[in-house]
Amino acid sequence: MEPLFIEKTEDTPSINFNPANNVFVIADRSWPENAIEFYEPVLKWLEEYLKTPNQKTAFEFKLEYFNTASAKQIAKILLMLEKFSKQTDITIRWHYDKDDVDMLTSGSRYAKLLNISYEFIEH
Amino acid sequence: MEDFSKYNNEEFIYELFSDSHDNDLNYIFRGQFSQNITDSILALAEKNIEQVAETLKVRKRIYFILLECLQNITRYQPNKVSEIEESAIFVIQKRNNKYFVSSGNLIYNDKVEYVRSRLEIINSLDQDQLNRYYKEVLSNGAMTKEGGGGLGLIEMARKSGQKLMYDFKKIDETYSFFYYQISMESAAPANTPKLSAALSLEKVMGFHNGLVQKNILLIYSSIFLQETMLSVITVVGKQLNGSVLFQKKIYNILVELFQNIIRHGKNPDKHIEGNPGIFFIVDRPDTYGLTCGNYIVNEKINNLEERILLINSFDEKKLENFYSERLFNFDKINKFESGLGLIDMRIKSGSKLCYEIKKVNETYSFFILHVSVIK
Repeated sequence: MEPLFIEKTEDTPSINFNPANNVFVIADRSWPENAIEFYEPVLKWLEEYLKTPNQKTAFEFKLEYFNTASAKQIAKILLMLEKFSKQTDITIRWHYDKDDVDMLTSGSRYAKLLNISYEFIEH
Repeated sequence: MEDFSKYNNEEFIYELFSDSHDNDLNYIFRGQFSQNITDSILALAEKNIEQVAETLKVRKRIYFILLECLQNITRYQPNKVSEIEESAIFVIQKRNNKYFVSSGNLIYNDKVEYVRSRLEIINSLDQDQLNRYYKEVLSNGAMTKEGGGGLGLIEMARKSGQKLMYDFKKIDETYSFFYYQISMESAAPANTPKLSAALSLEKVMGFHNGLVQKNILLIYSSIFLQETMLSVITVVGKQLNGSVLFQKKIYNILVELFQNIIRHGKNPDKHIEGNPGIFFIVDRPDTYGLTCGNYIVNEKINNLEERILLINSFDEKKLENFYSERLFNFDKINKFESGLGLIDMRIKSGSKLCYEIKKVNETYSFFILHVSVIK
């Protein structure tokens, strides 16, 4: 499957989904005005990928900031991953800065509500 | 229940707003000016000027004037400027197709007469004479040890093509405030003329005093756009000191506040794209107060009030549950709506949301939202 690369901008995150290298990373800032529009291709790509996923998928969130509109789209991504985690090995890796308690709280919130393997990685 | 009475200043805020919101650009900054802050103020101004179809020549000139004013502030800023009352003021406005840059900074009392005499000479000269005077000052090396020797002021007069307005106000035995204003014609296509004028220098001086009294650090009153949002946030972030967590909280809350205006605000003036709004920061002993104001349609008021009161009535646990429930509720969301913004601000700030509403006419009201963030 073709990888999905989206360069970061000052208000949208970088996306690096590359099944060949088994890399799945969303990083940087997610402050788009229209989060649905930004995440639409991301969700579409993911849906395709999950039809024939790698044996193991570690999905990494390395976000510095995200707005509430993005929070909802991230919820969508996680729900989709949760759905497929019954058929294949999927882990969420939630990265956060050790001083950024709010980012840890946001990650824990998702982890609590989802039935999926969830790791927290402090930096 | 939160005591809203202490925030009973919607008249004051609306006055500030309506005084300035139909400016194409309105940006008032008060505080300590570091290199960091002046850089981000310039970046913001640049973004704002990019939004209007301005010629390269005018853009470069206005940019030069801004830079020169800001450098005057940092260069002549006396070393011991710790008191908040002594901080400088910087105002950028665009009104009726004219830019106005006003600046006020501290200078030593014994420099006042020198600066005044320079300004008197500059204002007495026409464009040709100014050019000659510039060369003369440049060649005879009449530079002061701070650099300059009035070259900056001469250049501003040359580039703006207008007289400089100025005034001095003695603060104490050591310092005075030096205020000046430069105006410049815009080359962009004219908008519909507006009735009210830009802040005169006299008003800027009075205004400065008002900001000091109310401990307002920064006011940004303009059309709110995603494109300029980041530059404003950067300026704010650099002005507020605090831990990494605090900085991140401020950034997150500002994004929600600004995007509230961008998405949900209204613009009664159909000729202009984007929503007008006002934003300011108040410095209090233990908290920073972040305030935003914008138009909303009257029919939305009840719903909005109910939501704020509901969110304010929750304790920490209920808030968390409410957030989680909304987070995974994808019903009835349009492309801009998440329904989470207010809850998020309430959680991140750790304090109740305060609001004020002022009815403007049959269709619109002015809605003000205050968020206090603990330092």
